[in-house]
Amino acid sequence: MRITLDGIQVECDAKTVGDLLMDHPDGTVAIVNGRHMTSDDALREGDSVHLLHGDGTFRGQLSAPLLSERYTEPVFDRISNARVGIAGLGGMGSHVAIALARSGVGHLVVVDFDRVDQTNLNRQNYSIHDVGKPKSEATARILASVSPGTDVVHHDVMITRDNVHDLFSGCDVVCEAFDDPACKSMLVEELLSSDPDVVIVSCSGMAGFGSPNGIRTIRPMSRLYVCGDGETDASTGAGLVASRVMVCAGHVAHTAIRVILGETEQ
Amino acid sequence: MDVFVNGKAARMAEGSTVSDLLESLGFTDGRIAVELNGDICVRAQHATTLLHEGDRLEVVSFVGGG
Repeated sequence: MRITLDGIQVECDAKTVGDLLMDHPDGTVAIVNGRHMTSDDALREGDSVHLLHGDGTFRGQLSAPLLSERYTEPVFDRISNARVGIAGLGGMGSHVAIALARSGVGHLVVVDFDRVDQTNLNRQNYSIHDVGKPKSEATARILASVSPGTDVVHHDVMITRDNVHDLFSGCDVVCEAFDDPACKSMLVEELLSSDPDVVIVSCSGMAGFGSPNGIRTIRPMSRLYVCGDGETDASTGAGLVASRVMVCAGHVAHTAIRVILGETEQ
Repeated sequence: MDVFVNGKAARMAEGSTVSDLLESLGFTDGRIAVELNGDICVRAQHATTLLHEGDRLEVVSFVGGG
């Protein structure tokens, strides 16, 4: 039977994944049609198989075909061609960025003026090695280490009414991940009033030890989604807690992906 | 006249502006986003934008943290 092995059509005598792996070193993993398979699983005509080597050898060209098989090609094409901006790279933005890169969003624009300090490590996606570095640069490095195929543009600059249009020009979706409510308001006003196509996914209220189920996604305007509980300010009660911040970041990132795919809320 | 804010009716005097409405409902300008009949109404326009009978507004109020 014919299968596609690492992107090349081949004639194959193997009946099972185990047969195929026999000639390869221990630790080699077979991904069939985008999913892990065990040695006992049968191979079928037309299967697409990728072999990943257990020695950690990275072959960057694999990421795209593997995701494409997992998502189906039309879905992967939309996600991989999308450009998403992330305004602010704190607890929210740093996790939104990594979720979008892992999910295959092809183009990311990440912007923050701040530097990583030790107090960020309780909830932001940085390590002690990043302390003192610009958050935009640290995020770009982390994204490159997880998803080298992702096109990442990073800016170490404060976002203002004057530069926000240029920074996020060409973005299909912009994720607003600021700390300061005045900045959230500014970004929403500026981008929605000047760009007729962009969709904004914003966040409001994710501090404290309240229920994770209190975090929800609403769509108060046609091009504005807001994720959060809508009320728990970072300055009251328990402050920002990594787990709840990450729930909200998950909402933001997933909503951005759904917008890219043309799925809507309400 | 009656206008609708986040789906609820609000009675305002003739000649009222978006700023008047926001103040009467207790919104803090500077940390909100306002849409008037489907178009964004930026902060600089709040004081000069007159309301009309039946106007529909969406007001999103942000809290800090991100």
